[in-house]
Amino acid sequence: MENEIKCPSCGQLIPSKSVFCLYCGISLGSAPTSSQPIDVQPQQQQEYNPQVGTSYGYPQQQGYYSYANPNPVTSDPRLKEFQTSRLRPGQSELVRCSAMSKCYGNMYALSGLELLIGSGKVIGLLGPNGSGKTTLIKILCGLLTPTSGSVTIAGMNVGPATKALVSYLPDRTYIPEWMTVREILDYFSDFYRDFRRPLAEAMLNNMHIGQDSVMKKLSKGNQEKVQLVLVMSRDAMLYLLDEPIAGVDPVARDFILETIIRMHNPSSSVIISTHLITDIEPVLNEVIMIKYGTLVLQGDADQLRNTFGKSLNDIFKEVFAEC
Amino acid sequence: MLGKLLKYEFKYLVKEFTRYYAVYGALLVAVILMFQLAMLEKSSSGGFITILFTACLVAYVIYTILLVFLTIAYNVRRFKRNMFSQEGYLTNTLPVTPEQHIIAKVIAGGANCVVSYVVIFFGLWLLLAGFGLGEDVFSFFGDLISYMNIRYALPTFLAATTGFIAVLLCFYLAVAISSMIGGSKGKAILLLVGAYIAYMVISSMISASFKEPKYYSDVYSLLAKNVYRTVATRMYILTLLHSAIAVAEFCGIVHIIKNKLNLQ
Repeated sequence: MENEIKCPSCGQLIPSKSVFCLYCGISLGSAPTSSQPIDVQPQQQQEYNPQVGTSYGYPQQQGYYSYANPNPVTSDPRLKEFQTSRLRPGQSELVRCSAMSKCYGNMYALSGLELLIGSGKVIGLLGPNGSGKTTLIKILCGLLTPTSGSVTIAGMNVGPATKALVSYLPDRTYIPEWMTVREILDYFSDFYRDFRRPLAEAMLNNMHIGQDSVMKKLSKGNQEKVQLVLVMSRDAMLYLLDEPIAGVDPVARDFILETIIRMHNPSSSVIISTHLITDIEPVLNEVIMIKYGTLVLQGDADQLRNTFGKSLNDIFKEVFAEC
Repeated sequence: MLGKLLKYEFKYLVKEFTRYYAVYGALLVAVILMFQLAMLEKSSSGGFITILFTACLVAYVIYTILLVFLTIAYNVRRFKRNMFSQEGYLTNTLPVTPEQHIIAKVIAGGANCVVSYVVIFFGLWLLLAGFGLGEDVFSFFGDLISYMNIRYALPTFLAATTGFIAVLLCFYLAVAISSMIGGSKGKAILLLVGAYIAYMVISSMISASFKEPKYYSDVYSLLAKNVYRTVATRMYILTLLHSAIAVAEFCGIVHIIKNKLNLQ
C-alpha cells in the first residue's frame, strides 16, 4: 500500500507515520503530524502470526496510529480477563501478595494489592510515577514491611531466607564508594551462595573495568554497570530491577537489556520496574500495570497485544491517560 | 553470617583507623623528640626548639582528645551510613537478621574503642616515659594492680563493659530513631546529644541512690577500707542495670529496622 513503509530492521510493512515498528519495536522517527488514522480497519482479534518469529510479533494493523482512539482499552470488555492476577499454565508460584497495603501516614502507596507472580518470566512492572512500583519492589526485597496484608516469596515470609533468593538492583548507587571492585566481588561471594564470581569477573573484564578500581573513581555509568553485573551474576529465583534503564544513554540501555536477558536463569523471574515502555517492550513476556497502588492489569505480553491489537506502550497510555 | 559481618566491619575499621593511629604515633614521636632536643637546647641560648616542642605538645593533646571522641563518633556515623543511608540498600538486603547486624556493629565498635583507648593510654605512658616519668607511672599502676582483688575487679570490669555497650547502643538507637522520623542532620545531632544526656542523668541518679558516692571517687580509700563485698554487690547491680538498658535499646533498634526502616 502507498501509505506503508518497510521496517529497516525486520522488513515488515508498517504504516508510514508510525513512530516505531509494530513488529520489532525499534524507533523509526518523530511523532506523526496528523492525528487522523490512515486506512483504519475495524478492530478484529487476529491470531498470533508465528512467522513473525519473535516473542513480540503481533498482527499487522492497517495504518493505525492515533491518540484519538475509537476503541480504548479501558472500555474494552476483554480487559476484565486481565484484571485478576493468576498464574499461567506450567508456572510455579513465586510471589503472592494478599490484600497487601502500605501507607505512609495518611497516604496509601499500595492498597489491597492482590498479586500472583510465577516463575520463568521477564515481567514489566509498569505504572506512572507514584503508582507504587518502588514500594512493591522494596517490600519484596525486605526493605519495607507492609502495613497490612501478607506477602510470601516461594511460600516463605520475607526475611533472611527470601533475601537469599532475591537479587535486587535499586534505582541508585548503593555500593560503598570506598570499596574496590575486587572487595565488592569478595563481599558478594561471601554473603550470597548463588553468586557466580567467574561470570561477574568475565563481564567486568569485557567492560574493561579493573578489579582494583575504587568505586568512587568510576564514572556513574560504570558504577551502574558494576551494580548490574553483580546483581545479574547471582543465580537467584527472583530478580528485582528498579528503573534499570532510567537516566542512561541508548547504548547503555541496550547493554543493560542484553545483560538482563543473557545472564538471568531461565527458570527464575525478572521483574523490571519502569515507565520507559518502548525500550523495554521487546524483552517482556508478562506485564503488570499498577495504578494508585492497585492492580490494573496483569497478563502475557503477546496475549495483550493480540487481544487489543495495540502495543504495550499504547495500552499503557490508554490505561493511565487520566494520571 | 555473623563472622562474615565482623570480618567486613573490622576490615573497614582497620582501613580507616590505621591512618589516624599513624598520625597519633607521628605526633607522639615528634613531641618526645622535641622534648629531648629542648632539654639539650636549655644550656644554649634561644628557644626555637622549646617553641616547637610546645606547639607539638599542644597538637598532640588536641589530637588525643579528638581521637577519644572521634572513635565513638566514627562508629556511630558508620552505623548510620551502613544501615540507614544509601549503603543500607546493600546491607539490609543481605540474608542476615537485623540482630546479627547490630551485634556485629556493637562488637566491632566496642573493639575499636578499646583499641583506640589502649593506643592512647600506651601513647601517654610512652610520652611520660619520654619525659622521664615512666617509672613513676609504672610503679603507680603496679601498686594499683597489686591491690586488686578479683572480687572487686571482676564486677567493676563487668559494670564498665556493660555500661559502655549501653552507651554505644544508646547512640545507635538515637540514630535509628532519627532515621525513622526522617529528620535533618540537626535533629539527628539533637537526638544524639539528648540520648547521651539522658543516659548520664539516669546513671547519676542511680549512683546517688547508692547513698555513698564517695566510694566511686576515691580509689585508694576504697581499697584501704577493704570494702570489696559492698563495692562488688553494687557493681553487680550496676551491671544488671546496664544490661537491662542495653537489651531494651537493642530491642528498640531491631524493631525499627524490621518495621520502620526508612531508607533515604
